[in-house]
Amino acid sequence: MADSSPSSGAMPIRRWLDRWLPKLALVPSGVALLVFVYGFIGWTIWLSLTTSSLLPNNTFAGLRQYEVLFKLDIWWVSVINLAIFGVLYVALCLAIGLFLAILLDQKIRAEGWLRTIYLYPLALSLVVTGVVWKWLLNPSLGLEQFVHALGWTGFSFDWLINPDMAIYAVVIAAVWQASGFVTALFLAGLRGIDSSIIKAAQIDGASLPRVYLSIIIPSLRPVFFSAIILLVSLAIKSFDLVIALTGGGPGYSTWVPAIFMYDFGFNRGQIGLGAAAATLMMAAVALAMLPMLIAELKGRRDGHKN
Amino acid sequence: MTQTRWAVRGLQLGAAVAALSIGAAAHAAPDKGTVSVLNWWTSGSEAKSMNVLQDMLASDGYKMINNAVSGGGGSNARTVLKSRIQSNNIPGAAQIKGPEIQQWCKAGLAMNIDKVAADQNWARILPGPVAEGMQCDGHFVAVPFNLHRINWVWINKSAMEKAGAAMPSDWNSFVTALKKLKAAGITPIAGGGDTWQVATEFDAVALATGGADFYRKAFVDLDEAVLSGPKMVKSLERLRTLQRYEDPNGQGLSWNHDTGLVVKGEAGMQIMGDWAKGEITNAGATPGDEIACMALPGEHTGFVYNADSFEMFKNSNSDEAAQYAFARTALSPAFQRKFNMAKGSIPVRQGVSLEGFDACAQKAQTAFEAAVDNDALVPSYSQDMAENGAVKGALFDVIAKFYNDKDMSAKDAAAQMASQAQQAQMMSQL
Repeated sequence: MADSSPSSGAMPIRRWLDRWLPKLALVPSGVALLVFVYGFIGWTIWLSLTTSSLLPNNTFAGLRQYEVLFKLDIWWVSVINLAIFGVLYVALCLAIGLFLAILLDQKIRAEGWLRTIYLYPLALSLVVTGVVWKWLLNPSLGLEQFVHALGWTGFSFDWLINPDMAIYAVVIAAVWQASGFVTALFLAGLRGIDSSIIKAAQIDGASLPRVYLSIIIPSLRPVFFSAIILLVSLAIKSFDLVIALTGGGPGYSTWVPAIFMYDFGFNRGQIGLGAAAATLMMAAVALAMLPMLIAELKGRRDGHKN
Repeated sequence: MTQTRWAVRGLQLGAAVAALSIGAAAHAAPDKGTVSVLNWWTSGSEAKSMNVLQDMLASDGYKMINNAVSGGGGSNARTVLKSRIQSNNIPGAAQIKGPEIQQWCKAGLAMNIDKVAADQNWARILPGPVAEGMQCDGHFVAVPFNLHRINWVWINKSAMEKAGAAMPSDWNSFVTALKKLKAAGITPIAGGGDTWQVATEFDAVALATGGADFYRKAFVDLDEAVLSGPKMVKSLERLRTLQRYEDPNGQGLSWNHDTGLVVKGEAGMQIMGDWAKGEITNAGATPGDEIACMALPGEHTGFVYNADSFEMFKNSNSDEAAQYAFARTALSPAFQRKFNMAKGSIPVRQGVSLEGFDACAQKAQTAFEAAVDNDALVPSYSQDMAENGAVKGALFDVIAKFYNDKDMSAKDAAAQMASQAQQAQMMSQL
């Protein structure tokens, strides 16, 4: 990695400083990172292999915590919820984001305004988003009540209080929050496409849908890639939105692994189980991040060759 | 490395400054010692009560540092306690209740306060089961503050009149009243969905349906046969009945919001512990007057209690003399009256005058004495009095599942309750 240059005798201290000062300056944050991120990741993994309950302890218990974890109905509810939420959240955000970005890219008037409006939900914290949607979706306060007041009394929209549908209510709020951000990503991607390629295709007689499907969308591949990586990691970490919107309810029907980890680790005094859940969540995030890391490393290697 | 150490130093310094600035609010008095008290009483009346305690200690020359941590119904304070123990900055007293007192004691952290207990004769002035809960290996390690009754129903009298419903006296007349309220277009029971609220309701239902013996065998001993037995099934069926009379749209609304609905007459009743009185009073009504209080009717009567308490820690950052003084003052008649009047509970110290307490508190005291005589005093499982967090969580999970899954039978729920509670118990004792 480091290319060593032969040191000549002139001003050795200066030279030494030139060489080592940047590295020295990085040491404190490197050490902090090592301890507070990787150290604690290691500690969490270790705790998941112990009998830790109210307080952490170091009595080795093998995979006992994982065995119990896999037997708990509430853990599987959390995992299935995450799967439903993750897939819909990523897919809908991409679809809506791409659609809006393409519309915004048609050289329309007041584009700046619209872009800001679409991006604005991202400026709200997830807790605020959750509370607002909680009111909007509450059958006796929000949308259902509004439609009833308009005269359509048969209308029913009770997802928030229906244990089978509540997770989809979470998806609605989350997609509302993030799709504007994805729009902005795609818009930047669209602006980066060389317009001469599009013109060439048009001269060749390609229709507009054809141009989008065969040229523009494929060339947005890197944007898709970063959007998916971002959204997947957001989905796995999701906690605050669910807490604010449903509190995990009705019952525990909208629990996600992050809530499981928090509740078992901190409320129920089962630190070992909480650590096991956290370890599995980290493994999931790592799996989602792996493609990006590989691509990044590969890209760097390619860069060196040139 | 030094960077890290300095960061830690800085954090410690920050914490110390914060602690000092909180402490500075207390009176400057002759210094006989300091006790730091970790608690989660941050709401108006509770925080004020802690200030009263602080003042009473200050006039005796002790300094009390009030480390109040808000949020999470105490879970944030517990997290702070754990991290403070890990970093060897142990508070002199921390708000801990129920079986958790034993857990900390078994971890070898609790301080023996037998001296104060003997001075004040706790064996005589505290009710038996409460005194037992404050001990570990035969020694007192914690001091109780109050007694809350959980199995109350709060009834809006004018709503009942409007619906033409009579005050219930047993389960059937209770259900009849609910029916009439529903027919009159009033939400019969305020509540609906929030797991903690449902579990609190189930506290009352289980005692009224199965009686104190059943309650203790199920929720204290975790007897598998009783947990999955016919009385539990019957109690769960009654919970299902309650659910039918609750507002399905009440999902996610808090208990105090629901109390407000009862006071406004939009709902007829609420099943809730006596802390609901604070909300009733705030909304301009008088508990016992416009809003009647009665134990949830059923085949059995009794008293489901919740006692807030503080456990003392040894090797803490506090002075032993001040820790003793804290325990002693908390159980003094003067503080017991002031504190419990503000909090809506009744004094845990027996023989304290209830003059000036509201009608429901008087009723609670009568019910309490009767329950002690009839051995019908049981610790609330929903308020962490009967089980540790792991087992309580497991019971809550089953109740939440049953409440929200209308196709789940009471029998299945009872069976799951037995197996999941056992499993959680086993895990927490590894």
